[in-house]
Formats: sequence, structure tokens, C-alpha cells
Amino acid sequence: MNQMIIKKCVGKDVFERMNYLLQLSNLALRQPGKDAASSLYSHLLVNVSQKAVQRMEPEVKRSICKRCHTLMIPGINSQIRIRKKRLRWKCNKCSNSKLFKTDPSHKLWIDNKEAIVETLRY
Amino acid sequence: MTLTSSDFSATSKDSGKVYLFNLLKENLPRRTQSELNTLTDSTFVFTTNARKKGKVVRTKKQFLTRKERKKLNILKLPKQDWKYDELCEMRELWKQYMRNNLNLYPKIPTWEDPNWTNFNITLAKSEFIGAELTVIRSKNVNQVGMRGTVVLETKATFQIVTPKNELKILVKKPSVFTFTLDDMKFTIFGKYAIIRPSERSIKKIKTLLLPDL
Ligand SMILES: [Zn+2]
Repeated sequence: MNQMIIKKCVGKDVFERMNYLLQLSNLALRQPGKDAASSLYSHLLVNVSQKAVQRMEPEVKRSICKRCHTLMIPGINSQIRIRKKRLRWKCNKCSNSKLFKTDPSHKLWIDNKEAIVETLRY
Repeated sequence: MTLTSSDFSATSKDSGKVYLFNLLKENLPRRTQSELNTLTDSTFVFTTNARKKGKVVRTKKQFLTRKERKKLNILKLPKQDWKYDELCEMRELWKQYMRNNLNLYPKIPTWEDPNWTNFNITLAKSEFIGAELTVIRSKNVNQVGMRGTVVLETKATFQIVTPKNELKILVKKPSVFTFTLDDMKFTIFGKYAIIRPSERSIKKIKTLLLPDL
């Protein structure tokens, strides 16, 4: 029985690894003088995700800088401001910024009801 | 670009059409919405939004090169200011992750188990950052017996922090490593672990019962 469930969930080990790397990156960022380590871990996270073609949730994906792959946590190493009716995330490491819509009717695909077809528990 | 709605209607005539209409209504830009009313059974042509041929839009480059990473100090780890005691949280996290990943409980598999190879492959694909490594055999005599927590893995090296608060770089190729988890002992032959850590999770791994040294 146990074996069946493992076979059904494709890429479980990759997801476990990605989850662990995210935790590591978060942990290293909160300790002084380890921002290089944190950045390297999140860089590895993005690489693993791209190689294995297992995607991250939009919330998680947005919290990683697109340019230098550093984990951005507002107040510690990033800045969030509203400018020109848009939400702006700025990375303090490479000073790259991302713009997001502030339109309340704008919806992500994952928030739709149709997006969830099946939920697996193991 | 033409889209024939009659293709969809072969199986479920009305529901397909309604779905298509809703999809178009959600995704098309506002100025083309008025054209939707002209949608009939035959064809619908997207013309207003089409891009002219021969015009290539260049996107801004996003990723960083190696040189730029070096400039921002995120390519390599700093050599000083490492504390072994600060890494204890990391070691605890790693133990939790490994127990979860290997699915150890309720029972620990033995080599006679049918899914022994499966277990080995999962082990080889897992993450080693945070593990407590010991060098048991090496061609480099100075490194034998060295113990520490892995802080980074690259294609050819493990970088560890020893209890004396030093960062040491161990080359994988001439060494054999061990690590323990609860009361189990694992051995890594460095010669077979030379691969980029990001590619390890998709690589097909051959199982060798007798490793040649
Ligand atoms: Zn950045």
C-alpha cells in the first residue's frame, strides 16, 4: 500500500529537496554574515526546479529575485513600495525591481476553482 | 490565425462552445471584446492583435553572468567567520528532511527488500547540505579523519565547516566519506558523486553492487 502511493506522486523527492533548500535559505538569511550562503542555496533551488521541470507556487517564485536568485524578504534584504499604482519589489543585492499589478479583479490561474483537479495526500 | 469552433462541437456541441466563448472573453484584451459578438459557428479571425511580420522584439537580459555574480559576492562562500555551533539548527533540519525523504518509518529497509534499489536511488538523489561528513579514506593523507558540516556542494568538492570553525574544501575524487543518520551509517564513494548538485535529481543512476576503488 505504501509503495503504491509513492509511485503515484511523481517528483516527490524533488519537491522534498526544494522545500528543504527553501528552509535552508530562509534560515541562513536570518543569521548574520551568511547572505552569500543563502543566495547560493536559493540559486540551487531555482536550478533544481528548472532541471527537473517541477514548478514552484507563484508566491514562492515571486519571493526569489529573477536576476540574482536571492531570496527576498521584505525588511531584511528587499523593499516593497507602491509607485504609480503598481507594487514594486526591489532586491537590495542587485537592485533589480519587479512590478506587479494592484488591480483587485486581477486573478492568478492557481486561485481559480478549475485549477485544482486532484489533491493527493500521502 | 483562424480558429474553427465546429471542431470542438463534434462530441459535446453546446458545452464546448460555451467554454470557448468564456475562455476568449477572459483572455482577450478589452478592445477586441466587441468582436466576440460576431462569433458564429464557422470561424473567428484574430486580426487586430496580430503582430506584424519581420519585427523582432528584444527582451532585456535578466540572468547574471559568472563575473557579475563574483562582483556581488554571491559566487563563493567567505573563508572566515564561520561558527560550528550556529550550524546546529541546520543539522537538525537535515535530519528531519532525510527521515521524511527516505521514508524510514515505520520500518528500516534491509538489502533483501524488494525496493532496496529504489531506496538507494532516493538516497543518491537527496541533498547533502547540512550533513555531518567524515573522511575515512583519501589519497590526501592530511584529510583523513576530518569531520564537519557540509555548507556547500559543487561539482567536484564538498565544503565543510569543522568544529574548529574553519572552512575546508574537500575534493570528491580521491576520497571516501561517511555520514550517520540515527543508527544507520552511509558511505559515499566520492569518485561516483562527481556531478553538479542541480543535475543529480534528474540523472539516471546505475546501481553498482561492487564498487571498484
Ligand atoms: Zn536580485
